[in-house]
Amino acid sequence: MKTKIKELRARYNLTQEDLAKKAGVRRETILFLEKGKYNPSLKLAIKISLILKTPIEEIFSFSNKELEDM
Amino acid sequence: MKKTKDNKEKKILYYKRLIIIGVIILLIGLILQAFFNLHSSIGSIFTSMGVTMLVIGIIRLIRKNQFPEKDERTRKIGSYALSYSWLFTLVFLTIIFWLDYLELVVFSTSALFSLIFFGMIISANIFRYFLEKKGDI
Repeated sequence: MKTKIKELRARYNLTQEDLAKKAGVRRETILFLEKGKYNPSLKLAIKISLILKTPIEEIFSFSNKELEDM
Repeated sequence: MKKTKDNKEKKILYYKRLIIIGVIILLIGLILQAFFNLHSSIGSIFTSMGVTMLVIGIIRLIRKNQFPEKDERTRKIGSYALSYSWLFTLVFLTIIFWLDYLELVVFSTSALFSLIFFGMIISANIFRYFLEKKGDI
């Protein structure tokens, strides 16, 4: 999974801690999300999309292989 | 917003209760060890339980304004760690059964209880540690 969280965070001048506090999760969760190592729940994905004012499909993307393996 | 505030107050109350119960259990343990002629492990179990609750309560009360200590990822990891720990205990008990059946090792009941008790706690924490490092499950 690839995410644009890091660049969107930079655009809105938010640190990982700021985003974590706004989304109500731990900083580590944001860290793993940015690395693409954690698959968030729909609820968290929507929260992040609202905070970063960007549609979910623009923030999170999967390769064709990853979609086939789902 | 009000709901969040209520949740925070509830959490603070919970931590304070945890500290009070911890102190009570700790005192019971100390009294049992000092004044009653019971099996030595009973007093120390109460003492360690009390100390653990006290320490957890104090740490959580200090960190109350920081990040949530649990979120969807930690809950997911916690449930997986407990499942793996349960499986581990099942295998562990099977091994102990055969060791006992073949009379290779003979365990007393209290030793077996202690082994299972600590085995489950330690294995759950080890699994949780590794799953935390992994990212997603």
